[in-house]
Amino acid sequence: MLWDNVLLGLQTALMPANIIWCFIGVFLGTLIGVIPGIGALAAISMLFPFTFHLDATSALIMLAGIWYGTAYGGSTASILLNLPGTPSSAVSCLDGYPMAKQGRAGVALFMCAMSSFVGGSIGILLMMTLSPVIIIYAMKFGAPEYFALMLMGLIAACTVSFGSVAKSLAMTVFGVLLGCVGMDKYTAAPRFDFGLLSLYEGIGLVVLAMGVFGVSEVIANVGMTRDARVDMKSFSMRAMLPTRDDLRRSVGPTLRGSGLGSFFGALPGVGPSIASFMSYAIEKKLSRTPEQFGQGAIEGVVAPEAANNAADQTAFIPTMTMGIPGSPTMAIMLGALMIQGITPGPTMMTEYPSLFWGLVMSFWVGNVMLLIINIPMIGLWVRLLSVPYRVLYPSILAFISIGAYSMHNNVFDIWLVLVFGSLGYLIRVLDLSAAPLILGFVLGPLMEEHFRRSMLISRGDLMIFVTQPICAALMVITALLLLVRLWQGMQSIRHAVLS
Amino acid sequence: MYRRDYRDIVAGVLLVATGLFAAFYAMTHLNLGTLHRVGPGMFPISAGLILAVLGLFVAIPAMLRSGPKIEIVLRPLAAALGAILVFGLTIRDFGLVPAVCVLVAVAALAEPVRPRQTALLAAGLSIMTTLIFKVGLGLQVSIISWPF
Repeated sequence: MLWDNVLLGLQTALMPANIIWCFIGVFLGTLIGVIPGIGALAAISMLFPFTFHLDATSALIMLAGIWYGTAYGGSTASILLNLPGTPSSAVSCLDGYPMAKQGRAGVALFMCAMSSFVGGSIGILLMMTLSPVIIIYAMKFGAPEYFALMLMGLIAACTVSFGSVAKSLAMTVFGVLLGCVGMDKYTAAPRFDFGLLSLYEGIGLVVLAMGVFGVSEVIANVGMTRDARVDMKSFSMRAMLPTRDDLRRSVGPTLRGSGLGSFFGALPGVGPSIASFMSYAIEKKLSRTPEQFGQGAIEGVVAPEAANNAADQTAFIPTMTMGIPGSPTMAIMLGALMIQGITPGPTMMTEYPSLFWGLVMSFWVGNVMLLIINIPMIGLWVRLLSVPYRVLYPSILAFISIGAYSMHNNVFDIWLVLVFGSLGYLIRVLDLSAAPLILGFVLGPLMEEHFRRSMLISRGDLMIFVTQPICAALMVITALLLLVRLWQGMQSIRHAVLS
Repeated sequence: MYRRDYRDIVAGVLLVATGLFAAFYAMTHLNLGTLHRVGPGMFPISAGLILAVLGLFVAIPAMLRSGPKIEIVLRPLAAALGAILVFGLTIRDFGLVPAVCVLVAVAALAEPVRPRQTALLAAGLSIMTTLIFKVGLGLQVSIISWPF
């Protein structure tokens, strides 16, 4: 049965037209991932109109290619410029950039591509073999479980985040508030729209991300006399080859990262960003030399990269099998399907098997292409980065501005970029961090929906979150995470008072 | 170095203010509802209040320790934001190419100006963005226009 499906999928994915669309997707994805400030979401939404002219399978294959392609490209920017090309590759900055500063950029990039490939492959394998099992498991999850799960995800991500937990929690909640802006789904009441029609539709994730990551990055980097020039010598095939020690240290983290990423990717609303944050935290905890993390530890690069690529693949599980998009990008994928007249949901897999299996098998094709694009051609992408910042930053600003404008043909989105750019710079100056803000922004609306649904189910009884076993377990973990942190915080205050 | 961590104090105070503002705005504009039937205001109000409390957690410990100076780089800040601003003001009426050119011109002010390089960059970016967004993606915008 599985074998038939695999054959059917291969037949579909290896059709010349689909190979070409897959290549276009992963190529654009890498390009966009490398260029900071333009994320997968922006690219996918800009290319969305193109898919009207394609058949559903090709359209999905291309859009998906952009999505997982950016994870490869994003890590290149993270490692070489300390500038995450995508939110999910933000963690790779922590150790990738120090490695680059030590002249080991080539090794970091090579290991990154390899672990991404391993992570992606494991994600695909799991999607193929375990997807029925995961579906049954996830089908048992109701609104309260989803709420508890997302809460746990957010709080766990905050304890990983750099610096103060209070700050990252605060930024998460701030993100949740930003996610509230716009029409209320249940009552259509306008929230925080300040009478502006454009705000009634809510704040776009892309605009927010472009502002707080893209613009603020430019402001912080311009004027600093920094040498953006990258030493091309470290990208010869020879300099890229990892040492035996690098390989030995990477095996475990890559496999753990892949497993973690596959798990989190399949959960709606969690996705590659949390997966990469989590796997970084876990490697740091497991490591016998945690003090090396942040100083260029290879484990800190390969684990999150494997995780986010595995998550990129398994993110399709809830989307394709249940019709529940786990992220805005997945929502756009579903949009592409619906325009073709295909209703997403559990029946889709049986009604359009060539679509589902063709897409899955195209992931293999795409991942192999990405490996080829990224390892021998790394020089090309590096050259994109070794363009002097003088030339790069006006270009980034231009692409951000046009990108923002192009989404709705609306100048208001440019003003929002301006506002969020200023906010992003303020965040940076005040030593707060933007990643939890984005997480809160994406998960906030989903959490609210699940919370309200839970309250409807339980007739207003909050105990629903602790009476269901799965839910209760998740809540206990969340509470423990918070309590441990609170205790640590109290200790540090006590020390400050005593000294 | 300052005797108190003013950076975190400012951050905390701003977070408290944002939280209280959001909670207050939501309370006055939105229906809280009941747990049985949650209204549009419940989530924003709770989030606002939680944010305010977290802000205190940021600010109060900061009063007990020394901290670094807050540093703001004014010139790049003004240039980058100004560049986006002029782009937003010109894109609709004047079209893509003029908007890109003024954006590049203003952005270049962030660093010591090199007129030749800036002009070349503006030309190159105009061509590139036109090809990508207008020709490639079919963005509904004129390449160049004169509104008057």
